[in-house]
Amino acid sequence: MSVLEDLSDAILDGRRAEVVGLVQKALDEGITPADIIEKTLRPAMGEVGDLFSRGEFFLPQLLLSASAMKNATDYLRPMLAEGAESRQETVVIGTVEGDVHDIGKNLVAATLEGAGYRVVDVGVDAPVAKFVDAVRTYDPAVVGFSALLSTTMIKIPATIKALEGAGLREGRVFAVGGAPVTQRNADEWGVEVYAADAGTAVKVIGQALARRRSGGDAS
Amino acid sequence: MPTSRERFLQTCRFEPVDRPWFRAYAFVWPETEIEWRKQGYTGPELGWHGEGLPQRFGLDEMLRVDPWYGPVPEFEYVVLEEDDRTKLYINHEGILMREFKEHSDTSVPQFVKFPVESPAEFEKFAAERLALHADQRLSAAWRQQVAMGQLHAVAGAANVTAISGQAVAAPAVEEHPRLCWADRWGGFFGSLRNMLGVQNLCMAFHDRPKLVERMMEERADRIIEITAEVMKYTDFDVFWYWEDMAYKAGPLVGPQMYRKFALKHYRRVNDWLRGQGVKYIGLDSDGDIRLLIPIWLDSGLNMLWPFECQSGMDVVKVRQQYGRDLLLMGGIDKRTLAPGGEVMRREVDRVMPLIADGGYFPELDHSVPPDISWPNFIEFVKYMDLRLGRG
Repeated sequence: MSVLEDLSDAILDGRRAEVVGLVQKALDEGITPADIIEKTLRPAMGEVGDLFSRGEFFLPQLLLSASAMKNATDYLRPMLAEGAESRQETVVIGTVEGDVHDIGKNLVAATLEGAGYRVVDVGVDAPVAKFVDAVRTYDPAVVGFSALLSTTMIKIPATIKALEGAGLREGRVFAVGGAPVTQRNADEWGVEVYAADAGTAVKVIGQALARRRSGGDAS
Repeated sequence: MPTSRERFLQTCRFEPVDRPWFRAYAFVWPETEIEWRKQGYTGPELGWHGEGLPQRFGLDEMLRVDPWYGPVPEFEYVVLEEDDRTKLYINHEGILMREFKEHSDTSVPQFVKFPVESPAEFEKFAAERLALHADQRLSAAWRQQVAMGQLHAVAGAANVTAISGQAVAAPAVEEHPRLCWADRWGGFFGSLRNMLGVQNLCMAFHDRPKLVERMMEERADRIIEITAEVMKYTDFDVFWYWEDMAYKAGPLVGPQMYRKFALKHYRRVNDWLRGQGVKYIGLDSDGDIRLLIPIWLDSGLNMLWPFECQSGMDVVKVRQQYGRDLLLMGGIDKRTLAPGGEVMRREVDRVMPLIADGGYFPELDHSVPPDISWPNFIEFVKYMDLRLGRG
């Protein structure tokens, strides 16, 4: 088994203590940090998401794998070539105003971070202005909105509208999720991604970004 | 004429009943009650459990006899921080949480820190706060309510306050079915989640299996000990666990892992309950619990509630799959009451074949949010009465 295959398995198995050693072994074999992230770590996290969507993985496995990913990407980050880090996609994520629930959002943030994204978490009960400021400041490729209640879900389209009004919509992938949120809501609000759960969020966001990069419609 | 309790038990035994048992139980949001009062409701305060609704509509009721299975003494309520909208505080279960000052009952808090982070902390927590403490758990007020056959209106408090108003004489004949519902602390996931938090608990299944095992063992010990104490004062017809261990995409923990850890503990408690003559053992969990049902059935449990439709639960399909092995309560999609009318009637009609089959208690699948109007709630109850032949 190659070191990269071993590393991929370690991510899937959540073997957090072993990943750094395997990453170093890959580096010693001449594999670049960027390649380790793009060709092994992110696909492994994508597979974790698939397994979660198929009901073969559950929250414990998701958390363990995300934690293993984070160990690996944290180790590699200082080694990324100058400029490579700036190419790392940024995700701004938050729970909309009126809602302080954050378990789902935190899980998505953890899995995105584990997958190598730079995550800026604007927290809970985040008013429109906080989202607008964060998008202006960090220029993210992705903006994620979370709501747990049907009564707070209505803040998502309001926040999206504000971002549009501020000229901050174009060229970004918007993602929505949370207990009351559905694909139908995502379609109504004109967002590119509906994340049904933390496991699929990484995959569907990655797919949307890939479509955008290839010049297609991200949704 | 059969009593409400006799009808309840007949339904549990899949026997014919002269009139189906129906209680219209639902968690009524405080905001809902505010709206209902604007829309014509003029009765007493409803509270979270919809107090007074059964009497208003002439419906069936369940008498709860459970004491508090959680921390005793309760943690002192301490506010650590607050601003004009939110407060950060330690609740009665020792959880540090942030929630809105207004509508706190109907928004979900942000959980910041949980009371147990290590095996040593657990042992201390268990010794100090989870032990029997009979005098506090089964307080004088609790004993009074049970003896007098009064409806138990308060859940989640270590010290039940005596119900004010007229006490009823101890019933000569037991009118209502009695439920011992170990709310929030009677189970093997929900209570551990209260102590560790969901993320730490999920990691603990892998990282600290001995701790998880010990915590589940303690819960089984305590459920038996507390329930044995309850039985010194009253019998009951149904025992319920509380788990809340699933969401719309499925269970929080995989069934294989959960079976490995929890099955033996459920079995131990269920075997003990059956040995005490308790025939009906149920469990309360929101969310999509389909993958967990086989575990619970294998443990000897035979009733589930509330079958949350928003998470994909369908009582008709569950009955098709499990037949008479499982008693069902709930499963009427509350979301159909907002539009009401034909939408609501179609939903009620959908579950009616289960009434004919038996072993089913029709009920809304969860709480009553404010988009369900008072006239629409009345319409629902009246239509249920019509379809159940009660009106």
